[in-house]
Amino acid sequence: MVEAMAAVDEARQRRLAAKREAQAETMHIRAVLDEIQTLAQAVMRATLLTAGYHTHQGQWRKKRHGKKDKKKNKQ
Amino acid sequence: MAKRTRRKTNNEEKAKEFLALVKKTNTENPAPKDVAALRQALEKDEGLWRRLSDLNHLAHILSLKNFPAEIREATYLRLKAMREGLGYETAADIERLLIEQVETCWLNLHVIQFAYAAMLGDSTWEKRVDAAQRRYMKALGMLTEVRRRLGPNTLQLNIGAQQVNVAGNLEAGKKRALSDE
Repeated sequence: MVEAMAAVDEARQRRLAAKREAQAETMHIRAVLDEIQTLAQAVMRATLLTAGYHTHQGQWRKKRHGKKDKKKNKQ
Repeated sequence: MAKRTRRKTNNEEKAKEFLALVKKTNTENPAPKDVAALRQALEKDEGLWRRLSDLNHLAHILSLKNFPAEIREATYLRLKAMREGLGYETAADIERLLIEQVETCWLNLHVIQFAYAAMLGDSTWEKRVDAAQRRYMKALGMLTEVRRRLGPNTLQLNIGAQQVNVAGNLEAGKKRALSDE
């Protein structure tokens, strides 16, 4: 009886350990994916910003034919 | 170990500085010196690009490590085909980076969907599938945005009050038009 209970307990411990390991792996992958997303978004933003775009209410816009350009064209 | 920790801290600091610079420049009239600094960081900081490439590679390995070798090989072939389909070979650096991100998110979504199917509808995994789907859609959105804004083969024309977007190989079209004349 005692042996049977010990076997059950051991199996439960093994299951819990496997679950903990799986959770740790999931967290690790999630952390890597989060870092990829943050950096990729920053590089994308930087590329668009250096190309003359900016965000306005979540939309990317490019400043075209502003007042300064009009003045320059008139001259 | 100490060296590795120092390098990691340096990379993290650089990434933080880069993120702060991006935030600072994101205004209608950014200071030219900030834009120049950002351009320099983009063009000269190879560590940033390498870090992203390494992270994508790591994510592939971590996602597939518990699968049998045949499935891993088949998945790598699928990823390669996906990369070709998205035009990786002829894409600019920024597009390549975003294509790699799309691949990683696609892989993550499919691995999580597989686990969800194996768990027979566990609600925790359902949430994970949702999160992975959102991540994948976001990655696709970023690639589309960059192609829409910076794509060399798209031209926007304003005729009257209507906006017309012309897509395709404009250079080839121009050459053909000249040869027809």
